[in-house]
Amino acid sequence: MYLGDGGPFWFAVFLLIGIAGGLLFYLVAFILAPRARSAIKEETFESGQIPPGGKRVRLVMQYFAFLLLFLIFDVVSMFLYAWGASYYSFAPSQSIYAIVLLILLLPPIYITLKVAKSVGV
Amino acid sequence: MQELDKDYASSFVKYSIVAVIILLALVLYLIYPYLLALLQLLFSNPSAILNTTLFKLLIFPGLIYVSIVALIAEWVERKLVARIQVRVGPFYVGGWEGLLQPIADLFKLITKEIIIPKHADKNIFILSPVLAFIVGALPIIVIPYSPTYVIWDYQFGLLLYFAILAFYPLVVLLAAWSSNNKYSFIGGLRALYQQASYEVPLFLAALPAVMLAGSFSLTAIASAQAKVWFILFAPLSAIVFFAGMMAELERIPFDMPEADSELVSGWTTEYSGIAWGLFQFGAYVKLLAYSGFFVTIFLGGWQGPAILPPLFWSLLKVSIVVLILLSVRGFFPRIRIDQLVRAGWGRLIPICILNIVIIALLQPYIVSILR
Repeated sequence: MYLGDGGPFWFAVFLLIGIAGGLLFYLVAFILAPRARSAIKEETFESGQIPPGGKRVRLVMQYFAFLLLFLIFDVVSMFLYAWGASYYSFAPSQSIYAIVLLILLLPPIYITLKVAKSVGV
Repeated sequence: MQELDKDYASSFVKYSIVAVIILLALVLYLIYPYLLALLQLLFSNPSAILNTTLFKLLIFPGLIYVSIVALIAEWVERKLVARIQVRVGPFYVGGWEGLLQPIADLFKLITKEIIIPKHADKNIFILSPVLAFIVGALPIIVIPYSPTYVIWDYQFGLLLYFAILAFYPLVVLLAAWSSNNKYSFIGGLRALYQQASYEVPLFLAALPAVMLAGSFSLTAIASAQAKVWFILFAPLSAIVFFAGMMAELERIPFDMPEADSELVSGWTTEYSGIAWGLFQFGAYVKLLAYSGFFVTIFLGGWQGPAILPPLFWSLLKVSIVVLILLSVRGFFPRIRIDQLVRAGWGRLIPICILNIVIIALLQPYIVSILR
């Protein structure tokens, strides 16, 4: 496989060296470090208690709505980058559309924060 | 006493020896023409070595520089925070002011037992520190330290930088989920909320730099600041970027994911020895990557009075930003997760939008200044 001698090639080399380096650290550690296994040591850590309940922990994701908001905002900010990269070429009047889009981003944040406050998270 | 499971570590060692040998052989196969060229240069023209990409990748803005800076940053952080809190900090190892403490720590961590919990998802558990280290280190590849000292002068460097760092929350969540521990999982979820909430302000705060330079290339952004640094046009964005940077790095006002007084040590609870060390190492490398990026897009990169070389100015600025980031730890208490989410969405994003609107409205004036 030929990747050329440009950036992607060095990116790949950097990635491979990184993986190899991380694994080498592990190898040295597994060779140098003492290993004394015991059942209590390999139990899940819970500040000295033996953990109750089943195998897998289940917790509520309280702020899940913000992750959905993140999904929308990330896409919108990508569009803004496409607009912003042509800053030197567009006429000043053309930036009105982007400004309207930017201001339209604010009400969803306001509503989400207000709802979040009313349900107490 | 319960029975022990099959020993995972011995099979991991077997597979990883094979993997390391294959990877190193592949790396050698890929770089050996460049290595030969480097050796020839060593005898004919030693100063030309500094301009070869292999040298840059391995030594200066690349791996060795990053590792040394990560070790020094650890010492500086401990010393600085200790002085702020009227303590002495590391003192004995290495003669002068405990200078060799990070190396002692490295050897300590490497000789500690790696405990793999019984209920953990073992493959993911053991590989996620390596992933965290790589994801922290890879962005270094596009950050310029001077017009020549950049490993990959990529046309879309800024986007590549954000694309790589967007993987970090995923790595954190993998580590937290595979540990199968309550503290880890709560810490991992907090890290996810934090990094997702602050990804958008960071992304929007970098937009003024792209607008003002008219390019996604970090080298072009830095050289566009020859007359005026972009922090003068986008001061609000710079403040937001700095706050977002601290949140992404999980440094102290925003360290709920680690929260050592509530969550033991957050999503790294089950990790011991060098596995934890790799996470810490990755965090310091990421700190360097973020500081370099901040300097490049707001503080003019290598720009400065021409009395001293560009490299000096970029290193000086990066070290000042790193020092500010490290010293903040000594001053602030931790904020709550709801305060964090509220501040991120309710304050930082509107401030970013305000700055972008100002720059868009002042377009004719700004273009006349920068042209």
